[in-house]
Amino acid sequence: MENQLLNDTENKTADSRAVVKIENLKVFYDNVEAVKGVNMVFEDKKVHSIIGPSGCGKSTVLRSLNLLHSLTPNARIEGSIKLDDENILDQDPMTIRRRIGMVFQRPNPFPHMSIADNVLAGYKMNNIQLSKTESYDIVEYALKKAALWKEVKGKLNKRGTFLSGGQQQRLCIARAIAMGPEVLLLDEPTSALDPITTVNIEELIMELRESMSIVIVTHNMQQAARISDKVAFMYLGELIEYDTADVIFSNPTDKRTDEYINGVFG
Amino acid sequence: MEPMYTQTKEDNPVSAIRERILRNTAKNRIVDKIFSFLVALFSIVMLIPLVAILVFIAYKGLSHIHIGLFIHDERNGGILNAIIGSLMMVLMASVIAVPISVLTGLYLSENKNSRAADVVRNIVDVLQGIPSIILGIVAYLWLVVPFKSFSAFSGSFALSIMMMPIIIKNTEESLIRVPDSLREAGYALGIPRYLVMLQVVIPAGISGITTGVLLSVSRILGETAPLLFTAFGSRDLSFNLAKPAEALPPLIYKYATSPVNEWIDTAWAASFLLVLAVLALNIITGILTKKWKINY
Repeated sequence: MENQLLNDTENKTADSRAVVKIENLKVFYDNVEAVKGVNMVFEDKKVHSIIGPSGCGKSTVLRSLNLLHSLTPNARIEGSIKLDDENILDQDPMTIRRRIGMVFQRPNPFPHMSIADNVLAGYKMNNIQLSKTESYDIVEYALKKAALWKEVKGKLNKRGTFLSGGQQQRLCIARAIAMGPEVLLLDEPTSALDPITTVNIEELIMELRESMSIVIVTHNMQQAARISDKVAFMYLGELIEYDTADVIFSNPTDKRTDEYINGVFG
Repeated sequence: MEPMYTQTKEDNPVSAIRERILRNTAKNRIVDKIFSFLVALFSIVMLIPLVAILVFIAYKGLSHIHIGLFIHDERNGGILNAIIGSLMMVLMASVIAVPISVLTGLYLSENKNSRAADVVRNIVDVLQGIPSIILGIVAYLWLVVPFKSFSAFSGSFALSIMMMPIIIKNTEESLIRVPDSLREAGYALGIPRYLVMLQVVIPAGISGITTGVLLSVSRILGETAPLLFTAFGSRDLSFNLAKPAEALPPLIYKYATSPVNEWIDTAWAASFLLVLAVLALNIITGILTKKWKINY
């Protein structure tokens, strides 16, 4: 009986556990409503894609999850975003951002720092003390996870900007996962990269999926189809449809989703 | 309506004036050569005064440089007190000006569109236009009169105000070029704003900030006017910021206008040293700017 219970809890964690719940999220820039009451749930160990034409609010949703909207003076947010049942909009952005990591469209390693320091940037710049062994272990762990270790292990003290675009983006992913985030946000992470590098990053995302929840905004529908468990289609600030990748790409319920998927607009 | 590209050669308006197009090109080629020649010529003409000054000062000054200048103060036939005074005042001026100016530049670049930033920017422009003698008088009123003594510090204060606009503008320009994506990368790691500024934005723009600091130093190194009412001058070697001090430019003025030939020679030697220092600073600026430059 006890065993059964234990198994159940294990199953529950191994199974899809909701980490982030977005409830009636509205984002305004001045008085323009960029996101109009969106509801979404992101689960642990799954990849969620948000697709939609430019200006549909998909990046805004993603940036709200990292509380980056607070940097825009004229942005206002309503509704709630719950991380483990606590509304992150009421909490300290610095702490939340360490739990929800973010990778941006263009690779943005810190140009004045070495590869190792870039990986450790979240620790160093937040004055979180690390011993030498801890530092090295984190660098190795994060770079291995980001599939960059083999290429850079001999030049950890070289500047990160000497790397190629794809390597820089993986360095940025390593920098994010070095903080051990529960959720990783990726804002069109491959749109500035060539096709082969894109495949590498996609494979990497599939591996990272084993240990965290992933939310990715993408313009590339083939990419969404390849890597997603669930896909959200947004249009003009509204969430039109949110379902498994199979349903969205083969049998969408909304006509607009169907049209977008088939290239009628977008 | 028929599309344009089906037109025949005959009714193509361009083919009718083909000859004129080619003639025009030939003419342009000649003007182009003349223009290139003039640009090169005037660049060389412009170099003449600089080279002439350097050669003339080296010719006049080099022969009068001897070790005694560097180990004795004025009472014993050297200029050590002026060299130390210049270094001391420039250093103190930098200590005052650099932090204030870099933070002001940071403020301007982070709030580029705010009304307050516009006001600050205008004030900085006006400050840059104020004659240096006026800054000397202000320093006299604020620091010499209340403390009842001329002092190296009051000279540093006047010089520091001269440095500020140069450092502020260079800092602002270089920090504006730091892309927002870098700031966001910092924020996304949970780094508080002030640390993003200090550890991401300023290091990324360090090349421009350094340029501003070195340029401002080379600018004030040759200033005489702000020191007349402040540091005043002294014939003794002094390391005391609260006491009057000599600097190279006023020393040159003092010696060059004297009737004694030996003193005039010393003025040439001091001029040579000063020009050399400014030249060296400019070369170092160029090297560091290139070396520390970050391409985003």
